[in-house]
Amino acid sequence: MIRSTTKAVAALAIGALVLTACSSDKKKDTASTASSATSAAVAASSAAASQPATADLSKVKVSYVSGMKALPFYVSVNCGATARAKELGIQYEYNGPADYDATQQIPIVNAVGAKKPDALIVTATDTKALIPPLKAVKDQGVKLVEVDGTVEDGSLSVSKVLSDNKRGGALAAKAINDLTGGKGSVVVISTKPGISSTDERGEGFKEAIKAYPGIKFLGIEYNGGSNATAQQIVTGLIAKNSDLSGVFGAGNVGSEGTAAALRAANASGRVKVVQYDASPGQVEQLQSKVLDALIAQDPYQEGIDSVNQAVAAATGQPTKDVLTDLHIITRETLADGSGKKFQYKVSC
Amino acid sequence: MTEAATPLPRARALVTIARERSGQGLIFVVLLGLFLLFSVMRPSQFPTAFNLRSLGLSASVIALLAVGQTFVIIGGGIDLSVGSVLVFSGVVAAKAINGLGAATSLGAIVLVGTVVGLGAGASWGAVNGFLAVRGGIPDFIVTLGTFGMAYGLAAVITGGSDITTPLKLTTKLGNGNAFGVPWLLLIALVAAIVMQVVLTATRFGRYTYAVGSNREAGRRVGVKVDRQRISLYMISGGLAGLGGFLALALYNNTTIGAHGNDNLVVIAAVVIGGTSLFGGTGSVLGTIAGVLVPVVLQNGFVIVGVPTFWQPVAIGAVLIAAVYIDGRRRTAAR
Repeated sequence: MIRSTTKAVAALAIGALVLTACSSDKKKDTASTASSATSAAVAASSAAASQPATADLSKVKVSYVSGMKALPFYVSVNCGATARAKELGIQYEYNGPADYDATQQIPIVNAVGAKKPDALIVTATDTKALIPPLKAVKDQGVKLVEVDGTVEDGSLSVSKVLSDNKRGGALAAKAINDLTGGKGSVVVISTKPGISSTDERGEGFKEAIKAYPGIKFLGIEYNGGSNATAQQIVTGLIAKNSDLSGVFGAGNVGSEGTAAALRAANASGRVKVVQYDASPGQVEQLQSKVLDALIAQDPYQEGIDSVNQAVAAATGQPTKDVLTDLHIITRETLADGSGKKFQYKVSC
Repeated sequence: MTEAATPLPRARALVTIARERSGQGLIFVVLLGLFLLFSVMRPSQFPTAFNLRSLGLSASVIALLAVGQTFVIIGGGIDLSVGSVLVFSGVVAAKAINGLGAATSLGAIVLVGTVVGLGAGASWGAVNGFLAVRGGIPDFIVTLGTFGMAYGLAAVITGGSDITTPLKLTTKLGNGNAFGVPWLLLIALVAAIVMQVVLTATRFGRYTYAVGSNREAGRRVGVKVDRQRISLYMISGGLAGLGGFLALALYNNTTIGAHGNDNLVVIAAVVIGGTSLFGGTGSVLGTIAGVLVPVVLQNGFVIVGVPTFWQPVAIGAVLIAAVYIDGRRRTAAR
């Protein structure tokens, strides 16, 4: 009995070992194919980048922990970061929680912290809950770069790479005004309170919408990161406000739920929907008239900038905060080809 | 006085049941094996004080929930409401703490938070137990219902936004140490040891096995089955409530949106730890191992460098393998 038990445990251990070994190899493969696929894009960006590439950077280790590993936005950040890391010749690794959730992200931040990379690029999923773990990682001597989401304690990171969320919210208000002809009630549907990026978008929208007196602002609703909840909220809003003319989806989840609610209420087309972000699904929805405008960030560039700042910090050079640009995508800019390049990626 | 007529055989039978059915699983060997494996692969990264501390912190709140769930499942029930009860209790505790005023000492904050959290959680446990046992509603449905209710009420109380708690609670308790060990880990360990002793060395523990393995037989030997079952839900709720207060300390706010999957994580940990979903067998110590295995795997896979999308695949596979091996050994032992 004892012997068979030992064997079984040994088999399990070997299994885990093989699994880790195989998957490590697999990762290298995907990394190299990914970078060759995007090398054209990289060539363009690297010419503009200002990193000195003369020093030997092959020992520099940079890790990125995103807010949600499979979300096209963070996949695009990772693609930009992977491409830039390859170009600089540094060691780079990507991790993230399955859901946008601080309790899932913290153990991953801790595990990456235990590896003591030279720099950790992180998208904080909560402005407060991530402070203690990030502080602990920083105390290990790891330089922190925040991208997309930040914590309240601004002193932890050497650089923040962000898109101008307030401006994004203001752009959305402008788009809503253009689309609705400046009439009716509009609502913002956000993910959860306490997330810096979506909070600022809501705030930017709230301030900018005041400039359009014909529009009544109904406030900000939260869908908790769930399409089902988004659907319920929008269904309720349509029932309550017959003059609902616009919805601004500020979070990265929920547009499918909003669309489903509008379809069910036969209000598609009448209610204009402006959605933050530009994942392939959202671009498709824009084309099929489910959405009417997208506010696209530039996550690929954020990935490049993050790695640049991380490497600068790791090699003792000055770092700075970076604000990346935003773009309104409409069916018109998709048709003339100028909008397509801002679509996020699902794989590198 | 039929009870007095057969005290010895009854006690003896219950002791035998308790002893036989708390048999420790191979899961400890699996846990140790994973620990050694990762330590050998990454000796300068995995077995460090920093990492072990992080592992302990990651596991401690879930461990409390899992200990309570172990009692409910051994007693033949299930409690799906734990994550929401944790959130609700955390919210109520946060309200109470913030109502104390900024000058309140840490000791008073901890006392109030613990009492309010435990009380709120145990109250939900009482509701669960009463409806399931006296109301005759399947506990799967009752606790699914209270899962939604507790979460909803938490959102009603807060208006949907997380409440922030005093920073000193997080720096001193949530991330603070006692004798070099994180407070939260220490609290979870003490709770686990106490509850393991309760389960194996007290009449309450023996009755718990008894109502889980054969309710009617338990009733006939004089176990107050209904009261026993309601108590089990109250233990689960109370520990979830304590977890709610400790989660405040750990995360510095109420993390309302983050505990929807806690029930599945917790039930998985209990089953991985060797407790039968059909009741009557199991142990708290096994559950602790069941909590730690996925936590160690996740941590180890990140450190070893398993690509992020492969991690859940690998974790799922190892969990199934671990429980399979454990089950084989148990069958062989019989």
